Amino acid sequence: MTLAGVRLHCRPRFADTHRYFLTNPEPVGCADPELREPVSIPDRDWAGILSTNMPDCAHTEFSALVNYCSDALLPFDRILLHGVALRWQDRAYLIFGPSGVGKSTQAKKLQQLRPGEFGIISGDRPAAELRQDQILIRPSFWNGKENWHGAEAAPLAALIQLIRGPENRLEPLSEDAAALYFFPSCFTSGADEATLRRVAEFATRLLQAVPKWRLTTNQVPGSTELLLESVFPAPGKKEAT
Amino acid sequence: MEYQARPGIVLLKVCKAILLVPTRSVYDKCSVVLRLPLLDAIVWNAIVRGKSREDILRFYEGIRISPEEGERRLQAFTQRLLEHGFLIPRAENEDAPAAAPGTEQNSV
Repeated sequence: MTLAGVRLHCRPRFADTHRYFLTNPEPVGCADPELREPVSIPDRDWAGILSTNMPDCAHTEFSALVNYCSDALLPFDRILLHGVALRWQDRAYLIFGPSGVGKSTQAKKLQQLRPGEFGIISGDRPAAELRQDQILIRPSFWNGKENWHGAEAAPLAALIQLIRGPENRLEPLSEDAAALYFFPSCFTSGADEATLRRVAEFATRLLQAVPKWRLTTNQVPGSTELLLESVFPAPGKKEAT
Repeated sequence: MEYQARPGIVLLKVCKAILLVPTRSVYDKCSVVLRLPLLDAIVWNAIVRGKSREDILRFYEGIRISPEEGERRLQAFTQRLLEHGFLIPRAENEDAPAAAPGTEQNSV
């Protein structure tokens, strides 16, 4: 399979994972002229990993596979992220936060309130690629429950942390404050210290590169409008910094 | 110290934030990421290196934290670490070094 421009060799062992690949034979939108040599995902002891470490997770095998794919991308300066990657004015905006917090809902509301302005790069697990002068957000073939995907990558413009709270609020976020929440949004097997350190370096590069916002939401329509006012200003208005 | 750091925990810096992160081998025992203030990170490293309670209290005194306040801080910190599985009783694993605690936390 080709993921974020890197060819990965993988032998998924479990039925669900295998079915997933059978139904997604062609990765969406990952064509890249810089294709490199294939990378092998080690044939891990998935059963051992899943039974001992994540006994309660309903999609453990899928999660484990994503994590190992993300690890395999690291030497290529790429990583998989958990979030919705939006495209707005040819730039990428990543909404991240825990599962169920409302990332997809925010994206839908943005599209409803400003039809035609927002595209989707990936609805669930975009890849980030560190380049010399920018961070590129790329689609993957894991598109989330809405099956949102796009074909074109875009340079990252901002990170938006989404949390639930008593009142709608949008505030700039320092990189240090964002670190605790962004780090778990970087997929990794967490297999060893060296891998975690690489992920930490990657997260640092991302956090230092772009503005970060925290959107606290208790009511989706109101909070989405905050985003529209400050992060995605209508034509003629200046984007807040 | 009657406790020691659980093996398989890593102290990381993301930007200037210091995070205590479990490796996969201990996800079933601790599954949160903690953010530590600098002093707690130093104390965590002391625990990893097997320093005694007295050593740590002396460290606090060395930076002008009173013995009472040092005691209180160490108690609160170790309690937090225990709560999230980052510390284990010495008897549980006699010969193991490990990783760190925090004031903020997030799921792995």
